[in-house]
Amino acid sequence: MTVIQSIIVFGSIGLVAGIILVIAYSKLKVEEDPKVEKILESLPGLNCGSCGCASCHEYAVLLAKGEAGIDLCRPGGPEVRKKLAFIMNMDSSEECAVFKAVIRCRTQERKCTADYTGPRTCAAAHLTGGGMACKYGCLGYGDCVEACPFGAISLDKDNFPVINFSLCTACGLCVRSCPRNLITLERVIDGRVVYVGCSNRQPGKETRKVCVSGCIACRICEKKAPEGTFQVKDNLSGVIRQDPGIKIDEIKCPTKCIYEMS
Amino acid sequence: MLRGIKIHSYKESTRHEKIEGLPFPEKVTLYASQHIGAHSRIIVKKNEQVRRGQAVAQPQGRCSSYLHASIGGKVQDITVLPRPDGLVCEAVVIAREGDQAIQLMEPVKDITPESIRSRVSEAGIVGMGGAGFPASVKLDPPKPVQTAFLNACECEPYLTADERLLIEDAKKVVEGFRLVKKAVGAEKGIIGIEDDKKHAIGVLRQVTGSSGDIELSVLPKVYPQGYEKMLITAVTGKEVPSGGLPHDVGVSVHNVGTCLAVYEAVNEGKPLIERVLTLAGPQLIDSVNIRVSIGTGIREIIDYYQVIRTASSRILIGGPMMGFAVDDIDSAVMKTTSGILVDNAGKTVEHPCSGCGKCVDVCPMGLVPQRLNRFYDGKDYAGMKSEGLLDCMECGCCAYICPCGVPLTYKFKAGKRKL
Repeated sequence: MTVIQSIIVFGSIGLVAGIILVIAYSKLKVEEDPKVEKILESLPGLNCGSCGCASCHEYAVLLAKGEAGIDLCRPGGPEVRKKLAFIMNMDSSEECAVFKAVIRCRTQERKCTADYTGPRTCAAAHLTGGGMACKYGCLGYGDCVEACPFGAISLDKDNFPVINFSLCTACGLCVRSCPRNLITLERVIDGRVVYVGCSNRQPGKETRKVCVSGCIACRICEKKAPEGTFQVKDNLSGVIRQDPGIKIDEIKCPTKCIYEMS
Repeated sequence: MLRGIKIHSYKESTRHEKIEGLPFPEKVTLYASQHIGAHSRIIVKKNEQVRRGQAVAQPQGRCSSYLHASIGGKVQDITVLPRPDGLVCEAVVIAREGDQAIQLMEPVKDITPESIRSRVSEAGIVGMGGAGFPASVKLDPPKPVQTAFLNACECEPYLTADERLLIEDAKKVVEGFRLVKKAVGAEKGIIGIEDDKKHAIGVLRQVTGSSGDIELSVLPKVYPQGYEKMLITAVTGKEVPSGGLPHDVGVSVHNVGTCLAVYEAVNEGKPLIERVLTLAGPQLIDSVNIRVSIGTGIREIIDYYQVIRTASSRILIGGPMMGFAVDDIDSAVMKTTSGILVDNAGKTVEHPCSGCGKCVDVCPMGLVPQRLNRFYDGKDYAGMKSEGLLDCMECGCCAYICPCGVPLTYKFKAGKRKL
């Protein structure tokens, strides 16, 4: 008997509440652009913030209003761009640049001047130099690994972060996480990125003291590679323009610190 | 309310020892950035002969400083080298050669606030307590100052360099303080000193004597009494507003070493080329106060005193509370290096915060370190700022008292860098 009583009581409460909700929904409904939902479906939904909006939803709203461009979603890449162009009836034919993150430190061994015993994060280690002889190099406590929402960065056996080329979406979260500013986003040309795996700005003599494969600013890359691709500035070489004509074997970098990722 | 912690000072081993001189080093490394503000611009060239006391770098902009050769000789190299704290900056390396007589400037004859300031700037004097704020800028306060403070608290354990300076050179320090007082335009001078420095208090009483312009204020020994905002509150009862500077309450605070340097620059024409620092630590048999040329290698000092180091030894610059572990022993003494400590790095086990609230009780700035910690763990740096992160002076009280071994100060330092 009690069972039936309670079923009736709770059932009726539920029914009344349901009716109120239905009325409220129809009366107080906020009209949302139907495009927003469609856009939201095609976005990756990671809320990474690389487009400059707080969330994917906010980007979708701005896009539907026409206040944002269709090419801001870095994780989505060209595919999402195509979908968004279709929804927004926009032209998607022009070539869209693809970027990948590169870590500009890739030595085979770290030389140490002290033992670091503080908290095991790059941010904390950077405060005192982390015991490393090179004051510009990778500390290896994996702040970037933690920052990556796609699992594209992992530490190898020597605690050097390695970027998985296919998983990287160039969202830029790792760039901000590195206290030594080692990570940069580089444009992909012909399915590969060429970069200098060193960030040491000390003169070549000092760089040699602290690292076997650091850039010593010998300028050989400026001479051997196509013009306008490499530039040496502040004792450090860097790729200023990606070019399919760059052949790493032909440059013959004496410390072998030019790498490519594909 | 005054907070802080009571810690054993470990000062007995060096307190009664005379300051020792160190022979001139073979070479010195002079960093172009020894102070807060813009780097100095190096004006010497490689292989140039320099005399001891000759300027090797000029200030760039207002908040910058001169730099002088601390030994005479040849400029061996101008290159980019790491400082003890792990930052990299330009440096002049000078190899010792020949005569070591100091090239003095003309003593200042007409003593006015302007002439004191320009001399202090020419002598390359920066705040020698640790922050390294260019003294000439500090002597030109943007607001009127009524009271000048001589900060003789030296609350860090082990360090006694300022205390020994007061005992041995009290007259010069007090005269230097009078010059500082004149330059900032203060009517009153107060010397703040902790009550455990009995000998120094006695000497100061004698020196200041009956001249009514300088008052001696003896304060209880509590860490961090020597922090300027805490010192001001302890003596005057005024509180420096959050984010403000001492001149906001009409006060200007100066270090003992700085006052001595000001005296020497104005009355003797000597630039800032050497400083007194404490070499101490539980592993040292003979802890000493030494007068070293700025730019002397840390390794050279340690080898000279034959400090025995083991694998777990750690070298700290500054005191044990606010100092930092040296990253590279081949780096050199700077103008702001107040001490070199050698101790054993104990491995601490970190547990999660238990929320006991001991850190809240001790924080001299009235912050809530455990909340800051939670914000840091959640990577909410803006939240840390709204909790008053920028008022944190990194005194280390919270990390010292924490029963869970949370490296709070470290986290706050890292948080400040992120802002």
